[in-house]
Amino acid sequence: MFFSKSDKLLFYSTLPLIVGVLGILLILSYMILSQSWPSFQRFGFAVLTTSAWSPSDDPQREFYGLAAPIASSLYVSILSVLVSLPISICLTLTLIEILPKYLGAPLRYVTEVMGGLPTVIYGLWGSTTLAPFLRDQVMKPLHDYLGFIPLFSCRPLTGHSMLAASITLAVATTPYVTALLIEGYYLIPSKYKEGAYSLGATDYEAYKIMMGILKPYVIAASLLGFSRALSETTIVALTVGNSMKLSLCLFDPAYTIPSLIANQFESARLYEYALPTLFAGALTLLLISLAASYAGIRLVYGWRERIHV
Amino acid sequence: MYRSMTSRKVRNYIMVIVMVAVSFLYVTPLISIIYTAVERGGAVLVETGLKFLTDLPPTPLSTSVGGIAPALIGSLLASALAILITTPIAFLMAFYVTEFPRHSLSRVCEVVVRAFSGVPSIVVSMFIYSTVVMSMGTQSLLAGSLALAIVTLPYTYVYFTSAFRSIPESLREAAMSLGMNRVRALIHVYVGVLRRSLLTGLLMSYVRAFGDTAPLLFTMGFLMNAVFAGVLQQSNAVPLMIFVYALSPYENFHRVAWGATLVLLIIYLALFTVSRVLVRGVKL
Repeated sequence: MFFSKSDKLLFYSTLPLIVGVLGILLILSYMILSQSWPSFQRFGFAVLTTSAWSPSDDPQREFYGLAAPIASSLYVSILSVLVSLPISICLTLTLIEILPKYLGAPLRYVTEVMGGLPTVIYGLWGSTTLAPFLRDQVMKPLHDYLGFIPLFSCRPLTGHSMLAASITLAVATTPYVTALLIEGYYLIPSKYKEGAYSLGATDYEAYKIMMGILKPYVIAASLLGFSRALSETTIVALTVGNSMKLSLCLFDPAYTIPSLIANQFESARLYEYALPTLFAGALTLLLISLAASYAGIRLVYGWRERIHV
Repeated sequence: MYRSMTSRKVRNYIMVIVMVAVSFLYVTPLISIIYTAVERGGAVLVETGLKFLTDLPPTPLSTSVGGIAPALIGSLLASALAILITTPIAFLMAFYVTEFPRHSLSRVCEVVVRAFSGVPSIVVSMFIYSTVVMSMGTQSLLAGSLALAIVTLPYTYVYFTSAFRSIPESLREAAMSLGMNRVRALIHVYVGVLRRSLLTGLLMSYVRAFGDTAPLLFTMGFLMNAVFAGVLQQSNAVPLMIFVYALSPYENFHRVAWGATLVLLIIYLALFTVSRVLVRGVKL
């Protein structure tokens, strides 16, 4: 395997680094698990299936359940993927296929700028500009005319709501999903496009065929985007309204797990079971997020191997 | 199903126009963000001038806006420290993986780094809190930097691997044919060829660390009464300050948050543009 002494040197200097990084990951998982243990011991799995946040000075009377934040986390993240995915597909095709280079390059630059923009800026913009705008232009009309649908049944108050959070999240994660799709699009062998055009397909029909080939990659990109949206703290904490409520209505405020942690961590230190419960939330978050990224990455690698046969 | 040529063409035009329209519509949030930041943050900056960068933050009841000096210093130092920790690790790992892509250690490395990027940054913050902060007894700039380092490591790694992958095969062969081994080729050939892309990766990692909030939430502290208290003491960060002040009920704090947002936006756009200009110079 080794060609020379210096290669061996390289191997032995990289080995501890990789082992160290792996070690940090294991210690991290262990710490989160051990810190959350008291909460699981006290409440059992009820901590994940009930919904309550009632701290008390008397540990016997404390009661917590994370069902609402977990459900809202999933709800908000899925919604944000549903918004960002169509935009990302449009952007991918527009940037690669439709626009000439002198128009595509600036647009690509702008999406890259948006991809790296500090999330706190998105959060502040979402809470002060987007949320009031959505409340007046979207939520109120929807509630007035379509209020009988459960999704729109609640009266929008400040605009800080699950809808505002998921749209801000979608704006922030679209560049990431787009970058993934662009990467995948370039991997498609050109024979498919040539085939489509030689059969007389219009541009749009050819794009549809290309996207059909890319489908596993699109699913993977959605999973990775979902994982990113799920773990996003800053944007959500500033826009979701922060209230312990289990609701299907888009205009209701809610807590997601990260925003619950961000808001309650300081005071949770005062109570015996509050902090372990937050760690239980973190553990759930970690597991879902890792599972989604893992599934996404597996899909990407599997697709890459199949497409290059 | 048969469709006439005209209807297919009409459909084609409509869909292409819709896709271009959606793409350009997507840019409007950025315009709105810049507009709002300049409008609301600009007012604060014009009022205070350069003192906004050098003064201490206000108390809730004070009438003046004060400044963001502790946050600015904290951010600059903590991101630099984080990059200092991640760069050598990411550099060696990226080089190893591109040189021996099929080696089992490389596979492990890929998996571990991917897993790292799947760890939510708030979980990293809680982890550093329950280890470093708990054992030191106080939140500190060092703890904040460590959290930032864990969060930025996957990014730095990805930037470096894509830099190493861009080495043309001909250059690699030329270096080998001169009798160089991998380490010598790295030092004498690759680093020279890749200096701009490596620098870009470094800069982008720095920008990423500079703008990140969640890893700092429970680790950095919230220093307000001094500009800098030491590496092992509480500090502050620009994004953290924006986040905390934006959630507070005081009007005065909101104004500080907007001023800080404009400062952060300017720093981000400047560093991003510099890194793009650097990349443009790379021709392999």
